[in-house]
Amino acid sequence: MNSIILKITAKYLKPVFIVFSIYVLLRGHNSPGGGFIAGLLASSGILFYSLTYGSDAINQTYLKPKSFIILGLVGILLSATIGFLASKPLLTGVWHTFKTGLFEVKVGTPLLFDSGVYFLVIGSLLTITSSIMEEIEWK
Amino acid sequence: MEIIFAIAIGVLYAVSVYLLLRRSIVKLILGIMFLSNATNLLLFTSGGLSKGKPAFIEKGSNVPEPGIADPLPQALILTAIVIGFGIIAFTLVLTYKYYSKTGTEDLDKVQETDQFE
Amino acid sequence: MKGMLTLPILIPLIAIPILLVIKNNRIKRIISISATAALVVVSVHLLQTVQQSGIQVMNIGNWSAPIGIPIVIDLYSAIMLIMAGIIGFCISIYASKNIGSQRENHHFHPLFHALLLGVNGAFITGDIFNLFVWFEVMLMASFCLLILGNERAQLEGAIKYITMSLISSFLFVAGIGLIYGETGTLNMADLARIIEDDDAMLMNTSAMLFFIAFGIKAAIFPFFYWLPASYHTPPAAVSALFAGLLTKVGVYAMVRFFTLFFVHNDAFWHTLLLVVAGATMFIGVIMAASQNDIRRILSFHIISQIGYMIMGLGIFTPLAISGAIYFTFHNVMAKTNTFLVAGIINSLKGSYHIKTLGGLYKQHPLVAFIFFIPAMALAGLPPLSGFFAKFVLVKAGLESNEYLITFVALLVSIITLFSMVKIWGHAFWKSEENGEHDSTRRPALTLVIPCVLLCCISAGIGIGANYCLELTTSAAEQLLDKKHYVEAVLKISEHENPH
Repeated sequence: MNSIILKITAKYLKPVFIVFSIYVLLRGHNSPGGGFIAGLLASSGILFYSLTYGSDAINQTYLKPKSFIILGLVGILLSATIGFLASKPLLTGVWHTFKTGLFEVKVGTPLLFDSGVYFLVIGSLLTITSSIMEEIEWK
Repeated sequence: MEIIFAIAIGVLYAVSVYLLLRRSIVKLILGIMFLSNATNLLLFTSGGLSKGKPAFIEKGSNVPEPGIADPLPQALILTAIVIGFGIIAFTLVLTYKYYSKTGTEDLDKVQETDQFE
Repeated sequence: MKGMLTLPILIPLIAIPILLVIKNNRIKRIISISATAALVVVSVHLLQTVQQSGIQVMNIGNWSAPIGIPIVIDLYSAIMLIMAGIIGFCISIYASKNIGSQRENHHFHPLFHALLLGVNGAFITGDIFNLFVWFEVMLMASFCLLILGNERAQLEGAIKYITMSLISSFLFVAGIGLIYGETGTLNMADLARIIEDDDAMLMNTSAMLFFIAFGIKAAIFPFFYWLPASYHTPPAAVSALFAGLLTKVGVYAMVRFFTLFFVHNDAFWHTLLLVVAGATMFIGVIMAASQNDIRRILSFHIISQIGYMIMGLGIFTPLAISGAIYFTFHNVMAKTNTFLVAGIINSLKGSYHIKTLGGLYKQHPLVAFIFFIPAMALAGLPPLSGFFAKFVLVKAGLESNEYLITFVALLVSIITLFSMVKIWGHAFWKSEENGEHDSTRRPALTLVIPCVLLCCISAGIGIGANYCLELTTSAAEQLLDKKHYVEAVLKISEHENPH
């Protein structure tokens, strides 16, 4: 698509989408949000970009779609097995609190799981759309 | 409130059955989409409707307020929507492939694999 | 150790990302074969554990039973897991030759393990919505495997298969919705506790929805038309995998549901199951008798033999259910084997059509032998496994005075023998028409080994029928004594508190 307005908008909107998606991902455990929605947000940013710049743009973003899927699967697998290795049932949440002078952060396997979902959603959405766009030669 | 939902579900099922029985593959897929939405709505309604009370626990309290919405059907629907979404995407690509291979989307012509040899 | 219980799903889940990363096809095959071998070992170990210390339960994520999702393994699940493991192992060996590097590059191996993941998950879950999710994992993988290769016939088969599968999935979800609205729980054991003798209208409605949903997946009459339209289109390894595992997951779910909680109103349900079973058997075998393509004959036989399993469920005595479980195991081994041999025949002769085939007995006696064993096992000749499976079912039918279904079962058995003899006579005994053949051509060893293995199992569970039937009988008793199951799942919640 050859609209200059669209091109400029897409270029600057993509990082905004991605930053916002990370915000939604991180607040997910106790507030509305989470890996799936964040993944949808991030991938819609990337898709918006590639709709204006053609199907090649998908493969040029950060990682290949397939790598996103692998990353996501590994994240989910890790989050499931960390509890497992601590001789608790599969997928049991394990939490750890980091305290630095000013604030404290609680990090746990559910966050890892959510990130896994996040990458998996991005990966599969990009795979679906990029294969369709290549098929119909979207320019 | 439930009665309106029940009617809506019924209408959606009727539409989906009508579309599923058409000869075009695209309409078949539309029928499947309607079927999926009708089923999700059914799942939602059968979990019980509650107006204006989202499934959240107020800050500072450990117990939910009485009468809040049941979160489980929502989780189930989210799962069903995601699965449905994946499958619809798959089916659309499949139809496109089939169309580009055979040049037809008439279900009456999709009978090669059923032919008696 | 409780962690063992999750291994049937963890092993394929770990294998999938590894297989996605690796580029070299040879390494992929080795990983695939060793992962499935591990599955067999794990499931045999699980069976021993269940035999020694009763039903095994584990709560995923440490959330106790009615809230969280439990993994429940009883004898029936363990037997089914072993079955899936063996089939996975044999097919991963067979596929390394049969599937072709083109399909391997397009992620055959990860998809294969995703299918095993779905099947194993469905066998061990104790939650009905989770069962739906595993069904979908399995179906999604099977859709991709079905169209891998992108031939016209595959796409056509896929359209029919996917449409029917989706309709069944949505009926399944609708059933779940109704049952949740009625009882407020999705845990199988909790449902069994709540629906003691509740004969509410809604319960029958959801039971019917589940019956149709599983019926479509198990390919029973009158929902079987998608199966012969799609199962013969992909390569032999994939066909055999589908023939062995997919429909049996539907049967498993039906047996689980109709023994554990839909036990009310049994006069109606058991009659319906028996009618459907008889029709499935008879129509399947009649349609098989009229076909000429080996794989289509075998596809219709899948349908026909699903009828026997449903028959066992419909008679509903411990002996009948034991027979149904034994029959399922025997049928999966023999049926997969016949599909694999059909693939070997195609690789030797380039055809599946029995009219053009011929002379295989003379040219390839080994192939003839490994076809003969499962074919006769399916037809039910002693001392192979099929004889004892049918014998038990017929005995159970006669004991509970179900003479009509018993008669149909025996009649269908004869027609099965007829159509196996038809393949045998045409493809193996008849001399080849054009006479020329390349006698130097030998079937590849990787194709023959899994078939020989499955032959040994078919003969083995026939000869060791006494031991096997003891096992399946205790599995059936465990299924019918649902108090045991409920206690095993719900009692744990008193000891382990959620965090």
